[in-house]
Amino acid sequence: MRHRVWHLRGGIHPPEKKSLSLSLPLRTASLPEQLIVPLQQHIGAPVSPCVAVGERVLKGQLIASSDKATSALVHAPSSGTINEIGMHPVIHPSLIEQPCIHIDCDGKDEWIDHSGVDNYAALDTQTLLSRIREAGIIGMGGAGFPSSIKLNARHNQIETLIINGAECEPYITADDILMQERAVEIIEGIKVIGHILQPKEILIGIEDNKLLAVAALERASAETTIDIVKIPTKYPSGGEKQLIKILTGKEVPTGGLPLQVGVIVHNIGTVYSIYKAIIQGKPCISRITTLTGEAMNNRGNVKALIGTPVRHLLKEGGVQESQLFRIVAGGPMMGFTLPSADLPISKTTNCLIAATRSEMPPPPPEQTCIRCGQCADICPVTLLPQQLYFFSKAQEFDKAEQHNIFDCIECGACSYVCPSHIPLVQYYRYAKGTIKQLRVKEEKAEASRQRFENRQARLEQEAVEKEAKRKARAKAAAEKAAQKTSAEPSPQSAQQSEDELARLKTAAASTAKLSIEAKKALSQAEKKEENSDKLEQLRQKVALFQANSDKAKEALKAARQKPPANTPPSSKVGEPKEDKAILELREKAASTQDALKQAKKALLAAKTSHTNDLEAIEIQVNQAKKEAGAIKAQLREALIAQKEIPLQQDTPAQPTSDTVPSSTEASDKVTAALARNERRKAQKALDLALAENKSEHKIATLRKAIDDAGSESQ
Amino acid sequence: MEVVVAILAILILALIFGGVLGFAAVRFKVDENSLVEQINNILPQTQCGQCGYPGCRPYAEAIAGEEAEINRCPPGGEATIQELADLLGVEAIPLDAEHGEEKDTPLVAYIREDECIGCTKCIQACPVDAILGAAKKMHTVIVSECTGCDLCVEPCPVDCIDMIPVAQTPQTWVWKKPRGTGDISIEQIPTSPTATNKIPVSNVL
Amino acid sequence: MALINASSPHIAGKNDTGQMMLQVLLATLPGLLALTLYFGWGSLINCLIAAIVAIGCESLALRLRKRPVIFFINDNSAIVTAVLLGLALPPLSPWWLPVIGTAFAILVGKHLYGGLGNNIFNPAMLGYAFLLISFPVQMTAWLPADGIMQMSFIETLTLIFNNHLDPASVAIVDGLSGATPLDTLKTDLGLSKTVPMIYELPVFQGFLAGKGWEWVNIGFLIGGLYLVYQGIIHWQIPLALLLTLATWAFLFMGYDSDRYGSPIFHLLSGGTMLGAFFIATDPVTAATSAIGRWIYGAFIGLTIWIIRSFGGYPDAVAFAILLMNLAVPTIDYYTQPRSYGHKEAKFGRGKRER
Repeated sequence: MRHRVWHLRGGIHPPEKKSLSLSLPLRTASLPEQLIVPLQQHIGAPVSPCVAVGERVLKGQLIASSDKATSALVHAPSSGTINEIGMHPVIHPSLIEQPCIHIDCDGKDEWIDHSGVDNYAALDTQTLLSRIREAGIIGMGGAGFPSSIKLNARHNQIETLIINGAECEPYITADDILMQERAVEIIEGIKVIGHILQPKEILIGIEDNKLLAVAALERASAETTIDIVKIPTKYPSGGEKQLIKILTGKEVPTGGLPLQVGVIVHNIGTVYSIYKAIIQGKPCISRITTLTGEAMNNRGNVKALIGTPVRHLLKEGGVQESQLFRIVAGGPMMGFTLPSADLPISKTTNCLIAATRSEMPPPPPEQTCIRCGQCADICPVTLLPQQLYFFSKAQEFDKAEQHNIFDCIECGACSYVCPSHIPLVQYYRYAKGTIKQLRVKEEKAEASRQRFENRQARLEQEAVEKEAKRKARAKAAAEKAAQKTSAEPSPQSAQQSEDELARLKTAAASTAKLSIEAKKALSQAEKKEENSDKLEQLRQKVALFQANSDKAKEALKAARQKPPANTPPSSKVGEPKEDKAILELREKAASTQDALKQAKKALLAAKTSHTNDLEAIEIQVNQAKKEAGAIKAQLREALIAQKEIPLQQDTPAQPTSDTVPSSTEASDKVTAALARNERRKAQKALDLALAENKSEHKIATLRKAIDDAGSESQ
Repeated sequence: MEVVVAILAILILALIFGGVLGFAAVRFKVDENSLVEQINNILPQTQCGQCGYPGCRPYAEAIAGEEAEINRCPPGGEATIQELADLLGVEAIPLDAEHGEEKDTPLVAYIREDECIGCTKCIQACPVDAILGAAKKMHTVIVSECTGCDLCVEPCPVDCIDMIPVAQTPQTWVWKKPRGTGDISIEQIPTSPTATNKIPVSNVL
Repeated sequence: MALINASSPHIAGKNDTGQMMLQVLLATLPGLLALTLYFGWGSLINCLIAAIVAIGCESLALRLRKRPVIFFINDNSAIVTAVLLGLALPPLSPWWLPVIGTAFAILVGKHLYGGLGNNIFNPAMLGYAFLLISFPVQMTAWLPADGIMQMSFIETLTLIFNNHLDPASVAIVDGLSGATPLDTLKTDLGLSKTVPMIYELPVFQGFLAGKGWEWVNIGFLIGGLYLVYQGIIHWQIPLALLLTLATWAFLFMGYDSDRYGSPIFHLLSGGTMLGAFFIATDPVTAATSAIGRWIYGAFIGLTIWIIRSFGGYPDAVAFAILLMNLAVPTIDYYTQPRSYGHKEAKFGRGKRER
């Protein structure tokens, strides 16, 4: 049945050079001494080692795994001991070192226990897919995408399953030889995939320069519905999107997947690995690699273990080092040069070209683009490579994107035809990479800007809250301060009134003194019976001074009635009434004390002048004494009570409790002080009495008073 | 008479066209970002202050107000200068070295945790809150958010912050630009592995 | 082992700019042969003078621009420009005419714009237009098609180098010069003759069109077809050009055959074939995409016809091409092809929104 073939636009026909490596049949490469197995051979989540250094592993044993679905597990390609798990350069243009597991092969090549399934059709899709994943199968055509994910399509979603046997690049014959020699296994593998995907049709696309492979597959697929379709030999008809266009006429939408047009494409090598995994139970640990190039003598295809150093394979191919000018991993159109031969091959290394200088001469220097348009003529994606070149060179990436640079499949056909030897594809790779980098940078800048603005907002918010708190606190403080001024003046005015009080006191004292002196002078003058004028003068003086003294006393009394007057520092807030009471008491005490003093004086004067009112005066004195005593007692109590209260309160101006004496201590002190005062006075009186030779009775009274005061002062 | 007619005609035409333009100005108004917004979107948002302004937005405002030149941003480098030149229609001038040099590799801050005393000074300095930590607790840099502005290095009293280059992975590596026209002759093509497109290996794990 | 590190692809096609240019030169040979056979040695000498001057000017310009001289001269583009200009000049033009023209073409038309690949206008045509406007007399003094034997090589050489110096030489040249068919047509139409009458004139006694001129154009046609076969030029431009020119000529001839020339006449007169296959197809100055080339070629054809019929100059190829060179960026802007995977073609340059 002839299947229709659509025409692919553009394309080139480079010299195929495939016969170089087809003279010998497929052979197995010899076991290397050391295998360096890279852990990241695929596109997807990284895997981590699950073996330790020094451990012995068997062929096919799992050595690195991960839970993520996009990871591809790694198995030991041969038996041996784990030598090292570390960084090593791998086949990647960046030559950045990647994690690798080094295995020292013991030469036994001992397989781990493994078994396939007899009837894969009995297994359900998920089981098959998990087996494929566990076998570590990735796309072996070069992309390296985990196959289990690619096969995970919904039923009825796939119309066409395409198996890519095109192998359009020159030099490579790995797939060709695989199709020729393993056709039956390949068809089995295709059947497994067909069972998973249930497509409407299965096509194998093969270029018409591989007639032997076509024949072999046609024989093997004679009983099946698999179509072998011959397509015209053209580079790059083996590209996934190009092959879909050739075999189905459909175009994969830009940036999309073949799944969107109901197609899935798998490489022949991947199909063979799937066969081995499901039917034989063997994980993906080797691949067919073409060893070719004119610097090699034993060119051909080898089955090589993953992780084999390139040097070993070059030796296997019989490389002539003197002729060797360039080592290419991959094909001549899309592969990259290797700077050294000590890199390991991975699951996607399909070819090693050991080229001589004449075969692949150094690239001539780049000339100016003459806009001949040949690149646009052969571009399989119908791009305008010369425009892309101008934009990439000038770093006008917006325009490059607009001209669909991301649709470029980097096949290299444009660079191949360029008469000015411009490395066009290199410019596009550079531009694409830089555009992606710029996008990442932009996103990061956007995120930074967002974070910065959030931070600014947060700081502003905090500042606003702080301000609000400060205002609230200030308001509260102002309110409290206002309350305080209605009950007592502020500390400032308290100080002032104290000064005022002191002034008044001194004024009262001085005026009192003056009036007393005047009175004395008057009495003396009266005694001396001075002339009436003088007496009159003196009487006036006395009257005046008395008046002054009275006034000062009144003023003092009035000032004392104001609140903060004599309050001790500990009692500023909240006790105006009590203070008032105490002040009154104090005043009373003071006045009674005064009265007592005067009475005593009068008694003394009477006694010395031998007047008759001695008893009356004595009674007065006693009364005055009683009064003074009572008031004093009251005052003492009040003071004690007052001192207790501030000790329990929590006032701001209060110093720490350590410096405030306890209540009982304070009261004791007061009592003691008062008692001492009494004693002193009594002593003075006694001394006076003794000095004036008073009566015995008097002296005895006074002595008794002293004793009383002394006992009180204990 | 003709003069009057002519004047009337011109007047009417002016009114018609004025009306059309006014209507179009309102109806078809393009919702554009203000100039400051557009400039700010071009700047790299590291908020490092190397331009002399406290952040990228103040610098954008200065550029819009024609108080500052467009060549003051080292993290943005030549690419930013070129874009600003395109946006504003002015000539692209080379980066002003006074404000710093364009770094080849991006840097991120790294706090040596053994020496960190938990003083939060660096946290307060970071303009994008990329340092995680609290008073008397360990501080650490969130690498994905760090812009490399190095404003945190100075406030640290124990000098425990380093600026280290970001590790390159195969995913972040990109090809370099090819050399160009006629720059090398055939004899100059290297025959040993030191050639054009290789990137030095850096393996900071 | 010391290994080279280079980027893919590691094999290259056989195309080479220098080789392409040499092929172009090769393709001009039939036309040059016809010119020599019918008009004498003049054209060949002009080409040689122009070539020498071109290489000199190119070296000078490259040195001034600090580029590697030998490397860039090896792309042979200067020689091609020179030869094309030389082919367009009258055979007996004074030696300074190709010198000035070539110098202008190379220095101004090519290097001032940035060298090969960066010029907007075709340098040869720019040089030609410059000469035509500056020296109209010398540029319109063609010889009659009396064959190669009318003057020996040495005589031609002497005349070319003494043309403006020696009154005797000037007289000889004046005596010899005749008008081209296109020139005759224009002049005589102005004198109210009809086209059929004009066709009776001796200058039109070739078997298809103007005597001698038809062979020149056929020569260039052969060369052009060779280039198309080799894939060096794109066939869309010449085909579009010639088709459009013929169509318009045919239409207007049908409308009024007394005043408009026939399609064959237009196709085989003047610089039509030279322009179509060698000058309009100059890749640097032509449109990029396939549709663009059709539009470009078609408009050149149309413009040639318009200027020839209604314009002031008898031959319009140079001006038509220069005009369309101006339009190429716009044509490129609107004629991007549809790429694989896209539903429709994009157009424009693409500026990112900020």
